[in-house]
Amino acid sequence: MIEEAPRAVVLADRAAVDGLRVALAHGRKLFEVRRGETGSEWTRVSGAEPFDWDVPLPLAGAKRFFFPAQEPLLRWHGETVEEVLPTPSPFVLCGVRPCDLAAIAYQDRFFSADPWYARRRGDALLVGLNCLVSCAGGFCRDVAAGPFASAEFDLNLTPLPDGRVVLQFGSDAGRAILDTAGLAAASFTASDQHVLAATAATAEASCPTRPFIARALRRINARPGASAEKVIIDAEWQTLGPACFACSGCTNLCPTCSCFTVVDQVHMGAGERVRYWDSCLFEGFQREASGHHPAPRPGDRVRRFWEHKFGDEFTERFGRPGCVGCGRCDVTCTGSIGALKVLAALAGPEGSNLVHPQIAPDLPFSKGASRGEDGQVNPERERRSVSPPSLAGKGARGLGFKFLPHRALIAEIIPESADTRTFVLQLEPPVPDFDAARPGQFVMLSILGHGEAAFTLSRLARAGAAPGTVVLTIHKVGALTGALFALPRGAAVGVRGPFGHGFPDDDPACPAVYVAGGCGLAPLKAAIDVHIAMRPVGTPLAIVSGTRDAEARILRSALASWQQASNVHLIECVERPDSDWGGRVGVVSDYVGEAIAVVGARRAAICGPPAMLLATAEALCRAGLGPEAIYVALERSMKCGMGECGHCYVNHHYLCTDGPVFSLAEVRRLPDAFAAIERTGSHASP
Amino acid sequence: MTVQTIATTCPFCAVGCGMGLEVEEGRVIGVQPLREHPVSRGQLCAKGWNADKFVSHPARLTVPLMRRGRQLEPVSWETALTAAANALRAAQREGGADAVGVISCARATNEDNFAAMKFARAVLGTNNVDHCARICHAPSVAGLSRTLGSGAMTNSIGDIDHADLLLVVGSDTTENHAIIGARMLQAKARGARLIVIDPRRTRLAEFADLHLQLRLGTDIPLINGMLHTIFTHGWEDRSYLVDRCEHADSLRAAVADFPLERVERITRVPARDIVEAARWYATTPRAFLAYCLGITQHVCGTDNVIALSNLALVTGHVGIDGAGINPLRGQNNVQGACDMGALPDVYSGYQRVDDAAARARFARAWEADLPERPGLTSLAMQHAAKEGALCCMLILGEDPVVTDPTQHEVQRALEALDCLIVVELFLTDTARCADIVFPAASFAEKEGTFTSTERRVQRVRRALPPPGEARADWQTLEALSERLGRPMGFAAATHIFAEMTQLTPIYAGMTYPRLEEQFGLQWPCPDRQHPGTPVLHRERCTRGKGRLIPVVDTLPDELPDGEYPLQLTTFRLHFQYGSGSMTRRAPLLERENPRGILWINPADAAARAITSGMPVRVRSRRGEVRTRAVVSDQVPPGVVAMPYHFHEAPSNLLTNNALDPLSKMPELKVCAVTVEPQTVEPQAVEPQ
Repeated sequence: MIEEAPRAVVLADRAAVDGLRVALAHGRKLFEVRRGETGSEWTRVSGAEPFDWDVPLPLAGAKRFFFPAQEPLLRWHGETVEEVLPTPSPFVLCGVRPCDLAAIAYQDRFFSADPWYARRRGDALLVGLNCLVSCAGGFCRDVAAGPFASAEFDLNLTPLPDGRVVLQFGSDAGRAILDTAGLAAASFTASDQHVLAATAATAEASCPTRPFIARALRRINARPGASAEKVIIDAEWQTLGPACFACSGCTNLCPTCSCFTVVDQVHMGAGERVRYWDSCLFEGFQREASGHHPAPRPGDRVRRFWEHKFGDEFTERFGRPGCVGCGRCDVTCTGSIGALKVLAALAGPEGSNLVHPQIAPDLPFSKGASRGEDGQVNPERERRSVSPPSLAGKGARGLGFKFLPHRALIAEIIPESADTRTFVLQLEPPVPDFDAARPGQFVMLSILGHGEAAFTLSRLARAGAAPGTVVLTIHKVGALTGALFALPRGAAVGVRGPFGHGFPDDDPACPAVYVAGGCGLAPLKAAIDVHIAMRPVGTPLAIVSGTRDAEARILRSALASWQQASNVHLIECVERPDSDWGGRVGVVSDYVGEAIAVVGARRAAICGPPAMLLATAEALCRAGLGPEAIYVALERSMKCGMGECGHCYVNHHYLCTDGPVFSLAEVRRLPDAFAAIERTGSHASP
Repeated sequence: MTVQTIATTCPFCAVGCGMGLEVEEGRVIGVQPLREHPVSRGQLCAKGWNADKFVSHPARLTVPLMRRGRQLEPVSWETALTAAANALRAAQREGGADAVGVISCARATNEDNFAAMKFARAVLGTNNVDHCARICHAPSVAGLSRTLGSGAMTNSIGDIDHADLLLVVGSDTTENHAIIGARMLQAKARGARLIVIDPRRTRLAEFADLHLQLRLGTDIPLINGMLHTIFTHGWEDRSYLVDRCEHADSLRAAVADFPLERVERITRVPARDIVEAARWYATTPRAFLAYCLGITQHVCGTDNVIALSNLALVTGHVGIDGAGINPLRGQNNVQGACDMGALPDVYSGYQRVDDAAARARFARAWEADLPERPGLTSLAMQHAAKEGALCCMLILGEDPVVTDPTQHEVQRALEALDCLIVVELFLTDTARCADIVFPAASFAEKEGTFTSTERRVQRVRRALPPPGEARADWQTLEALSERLGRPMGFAAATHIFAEMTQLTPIYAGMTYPRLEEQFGLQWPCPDRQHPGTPVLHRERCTRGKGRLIPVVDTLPDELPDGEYPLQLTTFRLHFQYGSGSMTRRAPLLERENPRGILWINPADAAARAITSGMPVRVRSRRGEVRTRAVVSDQVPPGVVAMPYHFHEAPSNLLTNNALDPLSKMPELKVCAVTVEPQTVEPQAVEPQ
């Protein structure tokens, strides 16, 4: 069966591993899990003390070695800003359990473009330690993460019942250690392989069978429209919701959780931009400056969390479920709704009582039979077949993952309305990326000490903006925009980007309608300008722009120029007209039918507040446009712009890299995009 | 880049969770829960998970500050200590020994608190020492020491696991004592009954089998009604009453005045729910009663506590596993601050200052003449300051400007002082009023102990050095005592702990190594072999027999009327702690703040055309606050509620300082207000 050189050796006894550890510690910091007052934890050791083969899984996993709970990204003094990258000395984690190996492999994929992660992960060696018996509370077998390692390792230890130890190697670095330790000559025979396979089978057999897990996973991934017992109804999530205290324990201890927030800390003219672990269970995680909340109820947030862990789309994207069955969330959840409790509650009618998750009967921990690997466990043990890291929709990563903003000076400030201004920022020095920006793309605007936020470009170099500038039309709502509005002309800010997928600009001959609600006109303006600049003579387009009242109209000079432009049909409306308003009255969805008819539009683009987007999209469909021809700009609070921080994810998409512009057909596959609005009929959070 | 984890005790509420502080290169970078810890068992609340944030916050005070004109300016320790000693001396020269006062700190260690009370009594020669227990559980101490002989939780948090019924009164446990709340939900999950008595529909109430949503301030009629029902049906524990209690007959006679029709009318709780609650509670042997500030912060706070004590005694629920009467203390070390005698009338271990034998013992140990007359409470000190009788005050780590009732008055009192000395982590609203500010070490930067709500004394460990020149509170006090010519002689936290255990019988058997063996010991622990006491009053109550004391209903001091038609109550949020000086430095906690902080029932909101998020003005006879509304049926019609954490919208501008006559607790839980919608935006909720 094995033709190539064996990828394992057998060590005579457990003491032989000590020589290996000395070799590992040579030139590296050696970390092992040790018992102590904290229970058990990763501890720096010399390698001289005996290895603890039975130490329990530490509550704090290995995540913090590569993605620490807080990490400085930038540091500044006055106007001098520098990126802060970690410079760890080489280290080795010895005794990583299979669940944590699977989690590290998962995060390796997730953070594949992140230099902070890469610096810490780069030279680190991982020495796995297979589990011989099921641990209390873990369920790795049910999520294909153990009890034997199936993920990447440099070396992997399996203590055999006869006292010997199988040492597998999974990388050149691992193999090199073997040479250093003088173990390369050790053998690995067919009978050793048989013993290893039998050991694996025994380990698997020690794991309880929990059929409810598979049932719950099927329900989580059931398509809408499937039968009632297959689909999880909203009420089930809302029953779980009140049990979530939003303590953030699950996300902090989860070895695959990766969401973070970015905070500026300032003291005496110097400061740091730091990223902290964040938690999607916090109400504030996705609350936007406007007050809109895509997941306003605790049950919505609980659902989003577990869909992220178990949703098929994420599993496909990252090669395995986001849960490795370590059981830490079940220990730390203050509301008793860790993974096992939730899966039991969601297993459907046969699962458990759904009325109160807390009174779900204790879970069946019966010993079950092995799933039958028929003794054919190869020491090479098949790596889970995973697709290469999905780069689809990860375009922004091609630019490299950077937090250092480009310096820009405020060149011009154009008042638009009482609380809206257009800022023309002059990049110093110019950055070609911005000149190539496409309509609907956004930038992260940064003011040191006040943080960063995402804004869509409102004028592009391709349609008249001066090269080397970034033009943003901004509505004042929160702390950052408040700080921006207080800055004078000539003040320095920072920009990163451009990010995301914008509006389609591939068919300038296509008659189109652009529908804007309030400040949504600013992002659409870029698309309109590009369309006008590129269209063949005679291509008609329509613009429908609505505001609350005449006071709130922005970009008035652009509106005036569109009014004059040939083959542009402009409809302006206000909801609450004053006596001076001689134009149309109502909301934009009242006028999209007319706009489509006048120009024969075959495409539409919409931008505005969430409730307006939904109403307008429906009106456009009624007027005869197909869902593939309607483009919607979704906006969420964002902290990185590069698909990592998690603040903008809606169902299985990160809006910053996969969007923020989607066709309505795509949006319909994102039930969360408008769920809060459809339910409440307004976009105010309760 | 080696991370070290130091096991210590959470600095927030009094649950006393174990936590590991992760330290890298002298900087605290994270927190982890302790799986083996008997109380927290691998869990932490949102505050605990963010305990590292305030420690490493750049706004920490690092040098002493002194007032020059309107400004507080950095000075040397030498200058500040000399000035503070001179101010204390001058005040006492002018007004006598009692012209000074010390406010100790429920967040500081036992060692700090013992040093503070010794400093007041032995160095300054005054019993004017108090701390914020005055405004949380002073009625528990006053009430339970009368009925049982000890003011602390009779049982342990772990007893929740053995209880078959939980009766939770005036406690929003899942938010304020989250890890105890978590245990309660686990108990509920395994089948224990849960009864919640609270005017607000709390998270716990949502999970309860029975929620008695009484009117504000009607606890005594409700509890007396339950007692009346119990006696009427014969559900009382007769043998327990005979063997373990006294004055049962007078109680029986007194509660006969509380027939259910009357109680229903006063409390608005349906009679059948009262009967059901009484039956369940009385007939379940392991019934764990927990209560919190909903009981204590009333003009009848002590009587409320006594009423609950009557209920627990009549049904035989004191002195057994899985039951008891359990006040959930507020701050991490408020139990310890009381135990240490940071109170005007007692030394450590509740030994009275007017007891000659106790006084002689302390006087001998300290080689000092000690004053006999009990000192002033914190609010009395403020009154004395306004009257000019108290001229210099030393405040350790408390922020009365935000936390005490009737904020304007507090500020006036502090301004009236000749000299205000504050020891603080941050420049709080109170520190801003000070003449001298000393920078304090945080829990992560000093050795010591905290005593949790279940009387568990646990170690606090130094994980990193204090920032700049900050010092532990006891070190500042020691330095001051030297300047005043009466050195206390403390060179290490262990010295203080050793002196304290020698003078404090309930702590006598404790040493740091013993405390480190198994996450602490529960007092009383009278000798080195004693395993600690998870359950008090087992064979007999501390005072002998359990004393039943009839109490009658007292109306709230201020009732709604035409001008102020709504009742305001105060509460706390899961994500904030006290005045927010620590929690508001944590960005994730700060982000969780609701947009508005006045909770109002949909009916009351609709009547005033108020919608969620709308700016509102709240007025009482004492002041007004502008904030935003949160429309929610968590509060019943006629009641509005505000958390008190936010200095931008301080609920204590509105609250009433009418006092409970026995404990001097102000009535923070109920006053009359009016609420109006506003068009002008309130000040944004942002940290200091």
